[in-house]
Amino acid sequence: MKTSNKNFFNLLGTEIAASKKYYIIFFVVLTIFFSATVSMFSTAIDVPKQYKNQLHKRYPDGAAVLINDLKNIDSVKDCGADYITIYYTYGTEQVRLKNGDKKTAYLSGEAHVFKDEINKTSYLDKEEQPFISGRAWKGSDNNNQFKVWLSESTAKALEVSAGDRVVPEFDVYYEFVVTGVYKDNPSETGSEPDFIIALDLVLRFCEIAKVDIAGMGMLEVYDVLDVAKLSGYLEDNGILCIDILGVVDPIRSYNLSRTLFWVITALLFVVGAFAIINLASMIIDTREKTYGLYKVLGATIPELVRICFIALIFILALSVIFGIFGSYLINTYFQDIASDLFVIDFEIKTVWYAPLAVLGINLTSFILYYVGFKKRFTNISPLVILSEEK
Amino acid sequence: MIKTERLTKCYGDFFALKYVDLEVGEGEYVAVTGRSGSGKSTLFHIIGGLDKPSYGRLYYKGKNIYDFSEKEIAKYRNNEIGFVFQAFHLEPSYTVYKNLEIPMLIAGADKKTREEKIKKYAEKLGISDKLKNLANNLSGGEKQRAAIARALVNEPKILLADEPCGNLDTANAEKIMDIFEGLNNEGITILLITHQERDAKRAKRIIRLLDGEIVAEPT
Repeated sequence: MKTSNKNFFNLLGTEIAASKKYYIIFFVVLTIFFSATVSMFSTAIDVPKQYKNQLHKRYPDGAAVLINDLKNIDSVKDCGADYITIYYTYGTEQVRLKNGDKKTAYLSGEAHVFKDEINKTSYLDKEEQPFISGRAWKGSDNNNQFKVWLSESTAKALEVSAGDRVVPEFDVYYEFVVTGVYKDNPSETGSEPDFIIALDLVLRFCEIAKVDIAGMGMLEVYDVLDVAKLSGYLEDNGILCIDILGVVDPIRSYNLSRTLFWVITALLFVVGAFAIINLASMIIDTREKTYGLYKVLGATIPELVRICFIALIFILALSVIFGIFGSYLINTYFQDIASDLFVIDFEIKTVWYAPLAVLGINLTSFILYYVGFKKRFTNISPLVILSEEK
Repeated sequence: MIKTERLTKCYGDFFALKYVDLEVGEGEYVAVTGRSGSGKSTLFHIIGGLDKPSYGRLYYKGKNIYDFSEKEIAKYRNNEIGFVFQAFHLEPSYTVYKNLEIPMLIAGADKKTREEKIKKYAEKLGISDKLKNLANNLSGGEKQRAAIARALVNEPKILLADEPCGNLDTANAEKIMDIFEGLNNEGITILLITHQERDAKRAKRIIRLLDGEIVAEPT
């Protein structure tokens, strides 16, 4: 015997109506859960993407070397950056060029300090510092295009050279092709490095300032889109921890926020799967007498399993639909909170596949639980049900 | 129609039923009576396909039902047996109409058939005006009549009633026994489990159980 399809759905409707109190709880809890999880999932995926897009827009060809030519305390105060990188040389070494010649290269180091703490360093005591350092060969990783960050004064000095192309040659092997000037207003970027400027302009400045950088050829090059590498570099050099109120290190902030959102998303997945399984158990437990009666009246175990499972799936699907809407509302208002906490100043979009991913993971856990349904219904003993109320 | 052959149910060393041989013919009205613990309910459960015997056979229309698959036993319960319980066992959150409908939904009856039969048996049992009420809101007598109507909607061959008047007052109990008599007169086989002598005497045959064994079957 098999209950006909129409009768099955009638029984299904009866079941949902009879347990509507529990299914309403199920629906509400799951809708809230789906709203939160889809929102977090979207945020975890979308925020880093948007952050990268923002950086990419600002620095389309990537790269960053933060340098400064600040020679005294006054120029430090005026520079507008929250922190500066101090480059200094501490020695020389002989470098063999491709053509076999030897040249003297300056060994350099760098330190990152908050602007306010520069007095604690010995930077100002040092003699005139070269203002470029780095490793030229990294250019081969980046189509030989480099940019360097400079302080405002340096950038201003080089503005007149904007657009000029210079093909400098440190030596035959390391040849760089450079492009135009990119400028940032530090007050708008908060604590980001003050300026980005093309290498050629730096080199032109060298010409103007008559600084001989031949043989140094050391440029630190970093792709701002490769935040992991950049962040690693910053960590290696002892960057201070995040200042939540006015984020000092945007890269660290990005990493932290990305990690945080994924952690929260993962937790929500786990909680959600747990909630689904427990709610399903609760519904079966509270309806045990009814299912026992159905068994007495001739319902088979597969029919009972189907009724319960499909009822729960129906509510689950409904929760997903409302959850997507809920996540849209959360993301719209979450942006304000996120902006304050994580300096995310762009709208969080609900990623279209986020609901599917969330549904998929929790459906998987639910389907795994379904395997246990048959055993649960098998264990419902009509005799126990009948004798309980005698 | 129903025949048991050395039907036995034991739990460890305890025998709830001991080698019970019983026959119930089509159209009979049989009461199984005995004290508490005599095995009446166990016999009820086994004949109803709700419990398996430890030993012995139960034949329904010549077939041993415990050779059936789970599906076939479920079908036997749904199509051939109508259950009436002491505690009614109506679903309290369903309307009377829905309670009566459940066995037919399981059986696969179409909507028209369901409506016709519910109307028919509700009228027969005098609960036509209660169909839209929640089962919880009925009196004891009304609940039992609704339960009997539910037992009859699939037009089973056998009505199995386990202490149907156990939770009713005397007046309502009499009404229920009158209903059973009427149903038997229409040809339904009734197997009544009861410890009440006054109810047992309404049957046409009485079987007495003591400690799991049939001790007397008056002619």
